[in-house]
Amino acid sequence: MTAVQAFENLCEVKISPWIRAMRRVFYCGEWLQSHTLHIHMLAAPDFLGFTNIIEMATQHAAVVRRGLRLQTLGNDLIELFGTRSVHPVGVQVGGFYTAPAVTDVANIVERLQAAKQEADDLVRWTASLSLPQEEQVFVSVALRHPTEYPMNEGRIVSSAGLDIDCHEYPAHFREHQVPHSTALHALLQDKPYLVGPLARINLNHDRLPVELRELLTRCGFSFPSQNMFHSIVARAAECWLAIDEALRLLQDYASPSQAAITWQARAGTCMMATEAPRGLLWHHYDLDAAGRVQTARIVPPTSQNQARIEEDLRYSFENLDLNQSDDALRLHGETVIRNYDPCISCATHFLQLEVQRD
Amino acid sequence: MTESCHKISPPSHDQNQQSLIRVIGIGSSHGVDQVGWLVCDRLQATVNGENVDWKWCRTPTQLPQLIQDCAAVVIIDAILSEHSTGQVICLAWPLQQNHYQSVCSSHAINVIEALQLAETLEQLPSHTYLLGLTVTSRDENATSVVDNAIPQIEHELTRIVDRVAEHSSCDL
Repeated sequence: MTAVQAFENLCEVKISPWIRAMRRVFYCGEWLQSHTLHIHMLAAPDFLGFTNIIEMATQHAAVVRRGLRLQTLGNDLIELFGTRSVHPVGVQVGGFYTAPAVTDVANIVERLQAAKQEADDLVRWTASLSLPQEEQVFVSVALRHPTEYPMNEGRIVSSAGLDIDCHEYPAHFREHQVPHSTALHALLQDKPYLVGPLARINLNHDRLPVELRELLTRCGFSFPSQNMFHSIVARAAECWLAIDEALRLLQDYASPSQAAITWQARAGTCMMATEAPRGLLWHHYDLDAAGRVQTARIVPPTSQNQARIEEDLRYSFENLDLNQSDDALRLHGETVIRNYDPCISCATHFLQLEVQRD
Repeated sequence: MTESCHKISPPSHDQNQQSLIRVIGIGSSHGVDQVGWLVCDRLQATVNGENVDWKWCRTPTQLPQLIQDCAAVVIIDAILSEHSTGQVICLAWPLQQNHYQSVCSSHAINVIEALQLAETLEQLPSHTYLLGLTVTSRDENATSVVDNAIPQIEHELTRIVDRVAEHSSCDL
């Protein structure tokens, strides 16, 4: 979507209100699917003392079933527009390849309505988890939109006062190589920063629906928060938002006259930023006159969080009683890293720990 | 490669969902990882069965929801095994401990763990089978691997369908 929108900006494609709304629904599906998977399969077992979701399911079957239902709903929202739920292919420059049938949307609307109570329950449940109280100093970075909770439009803002257009990204954010890693690290004014659900809510809590804000308050949560362990609650809140927003946008669905706008390719440079489930995603392209990509640069959220993750690990271990077994220390490290929901392949048992004890 | 056209007839005495056999191909659009999807594409074109349902799945995390409301599920995926390329391994649930080695998954949980989760949640069909198509390298040509293995996969699927039908008859 980020690439498509970058190309549309370059080619001055004016998408219809229908396309804009349905792209937002598409993002709702992405967030719901990604967040529910992370909450139930990766993060929650940590906070409940289980090794994995299978163990957790022996004592919290209803919770796990609810998580799987919501994840499936997210997948089906994506598939409604993307043809398939993983690496969806339904989006094109100018709109979508097809528009979903009214009957298919009606089915999803019914499921979204039924999911509202489950979304409430999910927020309450994550807020009831025993989460470490560990405040840190960090800068949050996310998109901000004049009126909406940001998904695929907005300016790039930070909790340190940054407020820029996506074209100004390279002037403020710097990617560089570090000797100990094959991953590039990204810095904002030479410092690590946070992207992702917690950063988004920190910078956009006033854009949450009133009902959600009141629910969070009743659960004893207020944002902004400088506690990374509150990320699980931020994800649950965004699941609530995704269901509510998708319902709002699909409630009066009607098939459009066109699922896509025709457009003309042109040469030039284009950039775009959107909010992937894991955080701010920025793209840069150079195109030739035929619309072929000559150069591309993609800065994903997990890459942007690398420096912050390392900073967090250092802080966490410096403030932890290290008189514990290697396994306990490893689990603590993994739990800290999982707050950032790095790409799934990194989020399961992956950490190699070397402990030097005097 | 000659395509065969087999009529594999699952039990047709019961039209409701509980007689449904669901075949799920796990894979992606990349390299040899396409195997599960390609097998489903080929079988759907050649297998003639009213009560056979076909699904294409990208990650094992989707399995617990996909395998509900059916009498039997057959999961098809590429596997690494000590056998030669293209060899088809058919395993019936519950698996024996020595039938598999837990491998790290790039998708939160692997196929075995997804089925264990479904079993814990009492969502596992009474007949669950894994059809593994052996690959020995990520650089292998998925289409060639599938082309050579299709006759054996059809044979295994026929055996599974017959077994499910036999059990369904005994349940009546």
